[in-house]
Amino acid sequence: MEIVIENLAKVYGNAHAVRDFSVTIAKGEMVALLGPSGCGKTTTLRMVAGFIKPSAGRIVVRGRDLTGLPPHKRDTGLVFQNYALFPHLTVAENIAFGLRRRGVPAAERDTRVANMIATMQLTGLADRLPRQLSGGQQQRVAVARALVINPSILLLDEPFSNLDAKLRESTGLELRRIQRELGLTSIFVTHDQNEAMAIADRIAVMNGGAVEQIGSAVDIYERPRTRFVADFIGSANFLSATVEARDGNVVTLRHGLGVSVLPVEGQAFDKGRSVTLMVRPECVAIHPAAAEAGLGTIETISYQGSSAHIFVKLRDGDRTMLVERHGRELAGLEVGKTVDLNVKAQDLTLFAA
Amino acid sequence: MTAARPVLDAPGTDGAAASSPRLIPYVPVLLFAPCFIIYAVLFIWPQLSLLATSFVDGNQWSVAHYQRFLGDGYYWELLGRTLFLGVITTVITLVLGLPVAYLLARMQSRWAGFLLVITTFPLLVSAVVRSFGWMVLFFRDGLVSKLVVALGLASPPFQLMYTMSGVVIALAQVLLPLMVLTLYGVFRSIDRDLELAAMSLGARPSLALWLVTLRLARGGILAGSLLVFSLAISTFATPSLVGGARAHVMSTAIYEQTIELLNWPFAAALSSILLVFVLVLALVYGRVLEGRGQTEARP
Ligand SMILES: Nc1ncnc2c1ncn2[C@@H]1O[C@H](COP(=O)(O)OP(=O)(O)OP(=O)(O)O)[C@@H](O)[C@H]1O
Ligand SMILES: [Mg+2]
Repeated sequence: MEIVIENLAKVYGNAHAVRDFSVTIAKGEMVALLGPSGCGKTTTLRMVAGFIKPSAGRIVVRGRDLTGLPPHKRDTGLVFQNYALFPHLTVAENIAFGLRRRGVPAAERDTRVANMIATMQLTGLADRLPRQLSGGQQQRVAVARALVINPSILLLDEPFSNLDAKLRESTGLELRRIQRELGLTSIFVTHDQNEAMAIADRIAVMNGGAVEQIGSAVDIYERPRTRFVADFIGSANFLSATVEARDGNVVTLRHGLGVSVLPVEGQAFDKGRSVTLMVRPECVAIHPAAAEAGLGTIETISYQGSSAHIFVKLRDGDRTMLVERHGRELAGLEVGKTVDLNVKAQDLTLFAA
Repeated sequence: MTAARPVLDAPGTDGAAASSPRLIPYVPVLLFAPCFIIYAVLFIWPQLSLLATSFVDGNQWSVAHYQRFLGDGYYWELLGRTLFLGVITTVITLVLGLPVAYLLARMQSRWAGFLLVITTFPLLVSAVVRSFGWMVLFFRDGLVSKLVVALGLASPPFQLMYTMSGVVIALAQVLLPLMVLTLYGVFRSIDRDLELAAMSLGARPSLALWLVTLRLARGGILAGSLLVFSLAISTFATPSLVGGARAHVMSTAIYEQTIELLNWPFAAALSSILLVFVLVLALVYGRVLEGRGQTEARP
């Protein structure tokens, strides 16, 4: 394995910024650290870069234990959130900085810098100072500076957060293409789930310093392991349910939308237990219903072009369900109308308690 | 003014709203005016009259005072000693101030603010009082003079009072807080991530400090040095109290000419000469700063 991080932890006083962080990353893989503000993403990344000394754990890259090494001996390429370009050096000098430190001969250095400038579409900007560049150009210089040294890991801390929404997506995909081409192993931090899902091979969802789940975007969206992950990634409807019957590994659950039969594992789902069900908004079927037969009434419809979000207030209790529909399939659905909601058992995720 | 002008704006523009954009070009002038007036009345005008005084001998214009200065080796020595005092004080405060300012600026502990206050606390005590403090330590029986003898750096009857060394030590202590404050501000304005970026690209911490932080701090280091240098060559209290008549510098000589010998024109000439040095330095400083940013960093 290219990168092995084992039980990494950082404690400040009695606060755990990161706890028991473990991940193995294959060569050429891109892993995103995703989580809310303050969950320990930057701290984790900076421990890998060597700026923060871990309280516990190991970082092994290509079989070499980096844990005790200072940053300048780690061979990591780091792209900072605010780019941290050297303001007194030109674009070309910024990119050449790491090559100079490695004593690369002048001729080779010039070629590599020129190639990198071409790859990152910075042609013609070589002699500009960072302050004479747009945000997107600065971001590309920062990436170029980190890539040109052929690092064994590429680390990116919210690299796109200063770009506007359109540029963000295209820059992200462009970075992804270059990272693939060069076969770079990479960890990137973001609190933007769309970015993580669009770019990363795997996503580590963090919460309160700990990893809640690591997996592909599909895994995490369709098979969240904890309520936190389900809630943090995309939108989720939570329903409380009770176990009506258990037959081996199959349970029958009664919930606000009816009865569902699901396969389960583990002890937490015995008869009589209260559990929580999660269903994604696009998996809920909605039909207009006769006033007395419907499960709820439409409270709000938020039309967003390609899709529409429909908020339905359930008749029993005060729970509101979010239903997503195509923007063109709203016939018969209006605010105040009574509707019926249906879910399929295969779209339900079950959480104990 | 606005009311008297014909309304040229597009119909529908209301007069009050249209008048304010026209005033905008004058805003910098208006904001600048109070400071400029104070500066002109309290600095430029007295300075010019001082310069005029220096060219008066008896009742007529003359360059006699400048000839006297240039022709007398004593005054050359005086000037040399003053500039030396300026240079050595600047170097000492820079060497002592740089690490302190850097560490204070980079400290993340909540004690940082407190330590900064402690460092600059001496500024709250007048230079006269601080110089008196040094006098107590510098006399023959004073702690510091005794320590110097005990360390074998000088042989008995010895005191730091009335020596240039004494003046340098006292002046460096008086001016150090100013240097630290200036440099602190400079280092605070330099993003720590720049150093970290340099390290992640393979620079040793010391090299990262040199190639990035100190390079970027150059303007501020120059500003602090200029400040300390100008104050060191023009300050009066410390050289007068600690150096006395045996370690004369320009400022104490000017005082002597003004108060004791009542030779105001010659005192004015000495002041003008001192001012020229500060002005020349300020100009050089300006030129160096202009060139900043265009230069390449070469290891
Ligand atoms: N030097 C420090 N001393 C004490 N606590 C710290 C320190 N640095 C970070 N923390 C704490 O550690 C936790 C994790 O911080 P970190 O910067 O890693 O969060 P993050 O996930 O990057 O958040 P964001 O998305 O806001 O950048 C936070 O609760 C933070 O307050
Ligand atoms: Mg962060």
